[in-house]
Amino acid sequence: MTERTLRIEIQRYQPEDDEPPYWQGYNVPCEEHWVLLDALNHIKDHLDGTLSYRWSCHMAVCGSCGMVVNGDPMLACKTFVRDLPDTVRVAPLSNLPVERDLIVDQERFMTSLSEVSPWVIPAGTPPEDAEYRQSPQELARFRQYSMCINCLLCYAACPQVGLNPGYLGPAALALAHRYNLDSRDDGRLWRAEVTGSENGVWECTFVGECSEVCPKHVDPAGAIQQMKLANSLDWLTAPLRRKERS
Amino acid sequence: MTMSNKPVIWLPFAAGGMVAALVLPALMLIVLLSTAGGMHPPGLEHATLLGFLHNPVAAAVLFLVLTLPLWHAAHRLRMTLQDLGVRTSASRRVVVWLCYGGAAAINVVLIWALASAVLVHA
Amino acid sequence: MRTHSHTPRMPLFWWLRRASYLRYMLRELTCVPIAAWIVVATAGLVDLVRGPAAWQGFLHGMASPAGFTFQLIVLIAGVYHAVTWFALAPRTMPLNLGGRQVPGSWIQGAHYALLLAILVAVFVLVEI
Repeated sequence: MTERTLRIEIQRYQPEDDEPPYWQGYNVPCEEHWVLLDALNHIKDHLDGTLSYRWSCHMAVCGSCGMVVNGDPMLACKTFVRDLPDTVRVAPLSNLPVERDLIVDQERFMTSLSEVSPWVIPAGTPPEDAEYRQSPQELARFRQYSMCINCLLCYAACPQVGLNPGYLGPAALALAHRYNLDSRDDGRLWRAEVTGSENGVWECTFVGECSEVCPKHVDPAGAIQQMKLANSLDWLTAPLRRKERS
Repeated sequence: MTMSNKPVIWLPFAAGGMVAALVLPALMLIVLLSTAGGMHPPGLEHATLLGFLHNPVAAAVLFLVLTLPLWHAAHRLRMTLQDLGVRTSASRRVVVWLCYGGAAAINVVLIWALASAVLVHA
Repeated sequence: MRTHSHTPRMPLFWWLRRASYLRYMLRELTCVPIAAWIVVATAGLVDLVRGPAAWQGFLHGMASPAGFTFQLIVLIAGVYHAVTWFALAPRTMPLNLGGRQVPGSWIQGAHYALLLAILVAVFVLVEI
């Protein structure tokens, strides 16, 4: 079994020390099949037990281990060490507050997500003795956007997230779009109050980096542009709806 | 949160971007070939072009072809200046006035020129 | 114990840090040459209305080395805008026909076809 020593420099931060973040390096003997998460676990188990980071499934479905590796946001469990150079700089996800070491404060996303009402808002009461019926074509419309694992790589990639603290962000908006496209849902206009607000889709300038880094191949950028269009058409037809109501 | 009135800016931005992408390269190329390129298309002779623009429909089309990309560019410049560091609300207001105000000013001149072509010259 | 998180600050030249950010900024900055060309075209239309001599003066100005350089830069910017716009169009307006999604490349191709058609139409219109 071939081993390769990787020099892993990690951005450390301990809030109780009241010092700014600093880099700490470790020489890690890596097996050929390892992912970066295995190297981090080796550091924690054998080299430095104080290193703090989130991880869980080790298979790119839980979204816990997002971090910035040599400048690129990625999941530590999905990054093979054989694809990495000999020196690697690992930092917490960009644009979000750092709580400790590689652990970021996710509250911004949790708040944004709840604000877009990420659940099916049906038109009327659900069918009594039957289930909602949905064709494969109807499922295909929104399926891509349902793949989001809330890993926040897109928040690290998006410069508007960094430039505007109030911006809802790619994942929250993509998830709003997932429900807007769901044939069982009737909540588009309800969500539009939030997605169409100043902190919603209009903060996006289609940099597109969110979609580039997404490990589940969701296209938040595309979702947001589609919502801009839908939102604009809703805005144009708003007078007709007001007339309907009165 | 309340729904923003951004669509009033975004719809012309999107339309302008589409027109800029589809039509402007052709116009830019025509003018380039007809000036520095040494070609002399009859359509760009003074009398011919002015006569063409005397038609209000032609003038209106040319107006749309020039004004929509202008609004697109004004909005894009405004957003880009914010990307480049204009962050305070005061400086943002200045940028808004400069970008949209500048576009409005050019529009006034454009409308005047095209209206002149339609109305004054028979 | 109340601990505080460290909030990172966005560097002023954030767009120089990634190749994709730089490409984005260049794409956005195409609006400057494009706006400049429209301003010049407007000035040209003013010259057209002022008379044949003014119009000739405008054409001569555009044929000068400075005018040529300006037009070349503008044309490159205009083409870069078009190329990036067409690439993004399929993601902004996905098309569903007969229950199946139209491939993005078709939507993009349709835009290029339209660009070509308009190019030919303009060339024919001025009888180049």
